[in-house]
Amino acid sequence: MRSRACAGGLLAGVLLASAAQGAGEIRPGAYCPFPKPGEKPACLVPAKQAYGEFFAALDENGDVGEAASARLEADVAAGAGSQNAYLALSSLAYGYYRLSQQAAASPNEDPQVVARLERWNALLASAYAASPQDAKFQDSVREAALDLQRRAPPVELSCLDESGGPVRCDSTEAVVRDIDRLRDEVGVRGALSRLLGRFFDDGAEPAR
Amino acid sequence: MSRFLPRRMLRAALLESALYEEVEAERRSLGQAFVVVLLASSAGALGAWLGAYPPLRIALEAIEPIVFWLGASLFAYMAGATFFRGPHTQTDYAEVLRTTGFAFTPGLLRVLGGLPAIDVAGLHLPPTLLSDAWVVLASIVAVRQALDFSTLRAIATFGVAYLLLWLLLAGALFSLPV
Repeated sequence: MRSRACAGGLLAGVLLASAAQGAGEIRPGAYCPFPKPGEKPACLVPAKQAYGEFFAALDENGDVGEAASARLEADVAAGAGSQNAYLALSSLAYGYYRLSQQAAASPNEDPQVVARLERWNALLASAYAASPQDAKFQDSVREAALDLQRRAPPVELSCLDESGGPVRCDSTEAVVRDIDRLRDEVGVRGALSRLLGRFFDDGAEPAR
Repeated sequence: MSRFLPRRMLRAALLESALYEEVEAERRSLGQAFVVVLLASSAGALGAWLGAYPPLRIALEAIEPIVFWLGASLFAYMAGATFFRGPHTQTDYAEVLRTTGFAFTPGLLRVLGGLPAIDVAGLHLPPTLLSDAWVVLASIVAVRQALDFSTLRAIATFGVAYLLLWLLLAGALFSLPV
């Protein structure tokens, strides 16, 4: 009877912890999802304090200049090694979202905005690659890229396909795809994963 | 002795030795064991789909339990009935399949695979860790009951079966043309 109670308690604990994480509450050292329309971005407050110039440029000019984004971009590129890793990641995702909204709203794509979003895609990919020792941060980078892919208005950008050739893709689509491909598995699962990849030639999800 | 599948799955998840003995002796329960493995496969695939993983990962989640069930059970049978056999060991492959199939019941929790990883005591744990560990424990009980020997031999048999399955798959990978 005791083992049943233990198993039930363990299961309930994991489910509650999962539900709490899924609800997107404010946690220190975690990615802060950009706010839904009408929602107050409470968890972005520390990020706004750390990168005031970036948020100010977004609010005042509707764009971020090189100077306002330089420090933020350097911190994102450093990955988990940066002291402000999560704040930088959350700020970049918010900026990406705002710029995507502008790009989608204007009839002609602003080449500067497109170039910036393409550079930020590369930054997200390098932040993931630069943090092999920190699975939690890697998960956060994927969460941010996935969040943008799902919720930000799609903006057509240049990216690379599996063979390194240039293709068109929407927002962070290629970043998520590359992260998922980079996730290494070990043991039987790893061997099976690579076998499947070999059979399907890793081309199960071609870039558009 | 109820043949009601959900009831049996609950008993299998609670690691009831009597359930594994029951299905070991009942030849027609192989179909039920297969259904349990299919449910675990579907749960894993659904979890990966909900987590917006690419099709290859969804396929991996769907195929992995079936490969594990058929492959690891075969190697567990081979190792358990020869190197690790005990004085009471008398079994066949189908018996091992019947018991290990039910051991995949906790695999239904693989549907949580789409959730973010969980932080517990400073560790960053994948959401499927609980179900995977639970399936391993249930598999050890299943192997022990199918091969009628000690828990220690069951753990050794499970370890060897895992290693042999990994070698088989790694060998297959190595032998495929690039």
